[in-house]
Amino acid sequence: MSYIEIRDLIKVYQAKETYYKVPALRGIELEIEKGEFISIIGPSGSGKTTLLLILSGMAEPTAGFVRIGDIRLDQLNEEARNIYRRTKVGTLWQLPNRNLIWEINVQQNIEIPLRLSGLQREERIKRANNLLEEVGLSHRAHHRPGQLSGGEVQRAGLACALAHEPELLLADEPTGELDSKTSGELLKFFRSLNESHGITAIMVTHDFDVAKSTDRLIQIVNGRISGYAPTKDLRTIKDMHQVYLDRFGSVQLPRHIVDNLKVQRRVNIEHEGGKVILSQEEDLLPCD
Amino acid sequence: MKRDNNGLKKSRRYLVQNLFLTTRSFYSVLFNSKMENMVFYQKLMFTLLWFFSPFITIILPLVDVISIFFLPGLHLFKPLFKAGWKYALISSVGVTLAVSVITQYVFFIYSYQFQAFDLYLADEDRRYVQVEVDTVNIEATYDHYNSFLRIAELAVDFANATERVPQIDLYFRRSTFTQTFDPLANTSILPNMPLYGTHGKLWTYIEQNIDLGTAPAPFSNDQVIVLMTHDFYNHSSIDLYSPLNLYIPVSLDIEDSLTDPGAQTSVNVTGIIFLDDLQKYNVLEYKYGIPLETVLGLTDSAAVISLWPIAGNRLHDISKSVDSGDITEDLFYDVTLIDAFKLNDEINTLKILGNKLKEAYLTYADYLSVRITSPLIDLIEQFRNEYNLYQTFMLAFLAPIIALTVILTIYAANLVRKKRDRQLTILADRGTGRIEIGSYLALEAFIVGSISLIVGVAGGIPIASLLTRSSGYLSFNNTSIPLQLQLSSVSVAVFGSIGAIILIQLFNTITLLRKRDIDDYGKVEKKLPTFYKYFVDIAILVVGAVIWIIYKTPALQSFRYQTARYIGIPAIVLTIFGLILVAQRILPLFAKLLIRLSIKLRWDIPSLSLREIFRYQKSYSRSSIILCLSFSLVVASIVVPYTYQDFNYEGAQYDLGSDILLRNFPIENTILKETIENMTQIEATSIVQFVNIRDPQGVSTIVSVLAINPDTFKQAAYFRSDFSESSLDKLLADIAYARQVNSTFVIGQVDELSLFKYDVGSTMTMTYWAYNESHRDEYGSPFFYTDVTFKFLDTFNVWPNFLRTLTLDNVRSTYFHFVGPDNIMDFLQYNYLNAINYLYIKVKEGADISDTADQIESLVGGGVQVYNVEGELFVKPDSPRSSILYSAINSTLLMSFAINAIILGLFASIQLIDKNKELATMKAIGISSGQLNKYFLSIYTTMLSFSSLLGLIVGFIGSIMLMSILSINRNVPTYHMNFPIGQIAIVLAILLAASLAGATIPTISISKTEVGTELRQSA
Repeated sequence: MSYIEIRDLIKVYQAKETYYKVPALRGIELEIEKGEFISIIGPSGSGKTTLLLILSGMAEPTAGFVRIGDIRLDQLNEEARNIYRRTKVGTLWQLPNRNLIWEINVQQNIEIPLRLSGLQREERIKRANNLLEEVGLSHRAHHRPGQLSGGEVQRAGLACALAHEPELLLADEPTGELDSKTSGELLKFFRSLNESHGITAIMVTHDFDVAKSTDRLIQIVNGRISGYAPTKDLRTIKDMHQVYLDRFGSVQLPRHIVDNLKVQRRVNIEHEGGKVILSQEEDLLPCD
Repeated sequence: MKRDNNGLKKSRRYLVQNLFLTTRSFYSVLFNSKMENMVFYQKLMFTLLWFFSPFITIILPLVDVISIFFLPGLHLFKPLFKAGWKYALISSVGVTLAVSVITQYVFFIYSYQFQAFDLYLADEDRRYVQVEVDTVNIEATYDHYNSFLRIAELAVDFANATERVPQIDLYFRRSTFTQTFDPLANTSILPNMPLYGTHGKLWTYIEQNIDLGTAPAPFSNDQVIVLMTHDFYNHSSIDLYSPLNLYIPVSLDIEDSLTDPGAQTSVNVTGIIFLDDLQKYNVLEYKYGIPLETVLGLTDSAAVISLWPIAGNRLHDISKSVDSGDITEDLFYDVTLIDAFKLNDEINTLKILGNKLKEAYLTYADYLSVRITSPLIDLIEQFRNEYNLYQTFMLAFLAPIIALTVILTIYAANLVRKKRDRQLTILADRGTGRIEIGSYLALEAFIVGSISLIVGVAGGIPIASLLTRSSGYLSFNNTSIPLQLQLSSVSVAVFGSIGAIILIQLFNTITLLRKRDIDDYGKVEKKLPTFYKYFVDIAILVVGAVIWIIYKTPALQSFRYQTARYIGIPAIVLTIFGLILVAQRILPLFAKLLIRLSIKLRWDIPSLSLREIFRYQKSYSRSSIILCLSFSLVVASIVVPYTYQDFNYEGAQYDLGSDILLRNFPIENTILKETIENMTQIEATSIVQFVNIRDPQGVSTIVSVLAINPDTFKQAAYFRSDFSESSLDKLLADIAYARQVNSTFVIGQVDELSLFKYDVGSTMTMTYWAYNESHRDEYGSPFFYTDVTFKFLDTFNVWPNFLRTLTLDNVRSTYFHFVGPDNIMDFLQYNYLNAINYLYIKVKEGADISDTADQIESLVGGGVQVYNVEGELFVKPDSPRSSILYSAINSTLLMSFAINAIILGLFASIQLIDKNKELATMKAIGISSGQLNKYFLSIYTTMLSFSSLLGLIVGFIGSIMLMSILSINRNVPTYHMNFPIGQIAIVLAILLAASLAGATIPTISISKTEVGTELRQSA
């Protein structure tokens, strides 16, 4: 039996002050094994974060079956979801101020989940110091998040997420605000955690290169899973790539496509037989 | 890591697990411990625990209840308080402000009630219960004096009022007159000079205050002290050691007594006391004494007084007096013991005392003609009415100020909520339950509330003190009232504040406890607050208007005193609040209009910044509500006192009829009238007479007739054009016509006439109880029934000096008020003693009315009462009692200033903190600090102009409503609103400047910060 099992998961948001209902997930089917390191990719508004919120117990599914270990998430009430969050799952979000309380120092931030677990002071301090050492922030224990660099903030956030020794680690674009070097380091750290502690990790990302560092890649488009692929063989994913075209004509292309296109800034666009062709506008000088 | 996976389950069952935790722990220690294993001090402690266990048992459940609330979140306290103390501090400042406002108002009200009662009594001399027993056979012995005194003492004892009545004075009085020579008028006169006999403290006081001569020898038979005014001394030949004859009237011709040996006695004057110089009689060592004339009920300019046996012997010497005199006992009431908050209880005690006194005189002495008068009951009732009005006045300002402060505090907490929300969302993310968060927030609220309570109450006292002192500079006078702290006032302030704190903190906690949405931040609030969706604003306005209509219902008119505070004031508050809320619907349109205007005028920055008002309607409309309320309070606190003072003045003029009024004026004394008219300050005078004629049969009819002189009335009297549909000239012409044609042609009060279907031109015949002395010889009585027919030439709505307004409450009597020519008095047959003669006096423009009245008083002597409008004012400008009232209003004004500045300052600070990133970005793209200031100042200026304009309108409406409540104590029919535009403009300008300053300071400070730091910090 797989560790995570999701069947026909549906999540519909009721838009505030209107009668419109917005379907975010339209029947997700997914199985994840214990200790797997998974990345979820997809365009903005495809439902990646909603899936993560449901897995973290922060949002209730509208319909469907969600099991994590022996816990049926779709059947938990608010109180039980609190217990689940305290014991089973750790979360790391893209924005640093969603992971850490800005007004207290790093060590105090790490101590919060430990307090919730009912640990005594000495144990809390010991555990916090261990974690800080693990993420390489021992010298920053008494600094506030505002005094740390971007990478350090994310590592501190990760320490908080791992404080209560979760079985499942959920990360929503953890490298989104980091440079490529720092994000590489963070991913390496993720991988080592995954391997040494056997934590199941799920990471949402826009970045195809980041996704490649995981075991498996799941693509979500328009609330549905549009493709699976082991990162060793990404051909299926590439072939099935879909993007969202809004009513203003904007399209966000996946990073690897942009990189492969080798075009920058102003581009020429042609419409030919149902296809759109992009090419570099040669008349203009590059304006860096 | 040793992990407690059941930690959450524990949290789920916290309430159950911790139920009576401390009580259970206490008893488990108590019952499970074994004494034999203990060392000495443990045994001692254990014994003490057992000993005090009954007391501890009482306290422990309280600790348990507190634990139930606070334990679940206790483990979060340290990090969360560290993280959120700044926001708690902001909340604490708001709550402290609210508590301070409540405290200072409570002290105002209490100060008023305690001190005003004291000050009220200081103006009143009748602080005693008086027993008058008519026609008592006076014995010339101290035993008689003592036996009478004993009756009163027994009654006081029965009424359990010994503490309340520490002193009783007793005297007898017999009306006598004397014959003396007036050297100034060079004529012999017969002035009244009643004979008094007394003993005890009253006599000691008299002995100690002799101005000339000495006290009578105790065993003399004819020695007396003469009490008189200096004026009387100059107008008589009575002097020290001169013999003096006293007479009682034995026939209608008073001079018959002079030749009747049985009607007179002779006394020897050994001492003289001048009443003008006499210190007040102060037996109870109270701050204020009572004039001797009041104690003795002396209305004449002179009297003779001696020891009880001496005066008794002199009375016996007048054989035709049959030894009888009237005995009066003054039971001095210790007013310092009266609790100003239990006036009804005091009235009851006084009533019981009166009944017991009557019973005692009937039981022990068989006296039937006993009159018990308790002027104190009237005094207390009058004070209660005045106090009710003042309380209504204060409540009218207090209620919105407290509401304003509470809203402001909630609003401030609401502004920092976003920051707290972020922290609490992280906690929720980590698995913290709502019970834990709620428990922590409750604990924080408890701490914030406790600190605010202590600081607020402690701060409220100096604020109140400062405001009372500052009132001298702002108010109509320079009197300042020292603040009086009482245990009860402090406790009311504390409990009132606790109420407000609970309200505020409950609201804050509930708001923070709501279910969190992950991406709830940074949403554009392009709509008015949610309650507008449900038309709550319109509902409040409608409810206010409906309650107001109920308050104004004619059926409830006679209950206005009761309904003013409990129906009228809530109606005003709701209506004003409703109006302000409804008006916020215009704010987005107003902003849009200004945006268009600024685009047309090419004002780039305002055209950009004003969009914020439209974009963040929710926040801006909330600020605008508070600002409008504050502005309208400022307007009302200026308009209402001015209008009330005008109304008060007009009311006094309406009651009197002229600037100065002489009651019981000797109209035949033309020399006196000419002397008054020749005074430089006098513009005109007019004689007016008043008489009631009545038909006591069946439903009794009472006609009050005011006889005026149509030639001089207009020059001397007060009259307003709206008092009648016809002009005063037309009415006076009618009366002049009546004077020539038929003196019973009159003008009548329109509502009274219409009730009985009398029109102009119709006639009314009434039979009345007439009086004519010539009938005595013929029919044995001067009284008889006769008819009079009145013809109505015109009507008036109200006429000054006629105090009674038409009421259908008491249908046993029908009242009519007619104004006729002066010669109507020649036609009517009435007892001359029942007619009142007035002299209306108009004082020249700029002359001092009170001074003029004093001068006239010295001219007319005793018997003529002199009234002036300034003395009749209900709220006198120079009265210390009014000063408290005006202090309260001024404090409202100052509070509004403070609240305006605070609200904009707070709003600006929070908004700017919230917009750090935005501001930094704006600076990064090259917007200068000056332009940034302009950006925000244009928003605040717009907000202030909108709210001041709206506040002005709502303030005027509120003032009009408030005045109709405050005017219930006067009979004057209408009043004119006084809008002192100049004052309002000045005060509003200062207020705008203060508010703008409040907003500018944070704007300037934020524009000075570094861009880089800003962008980094706001990540």
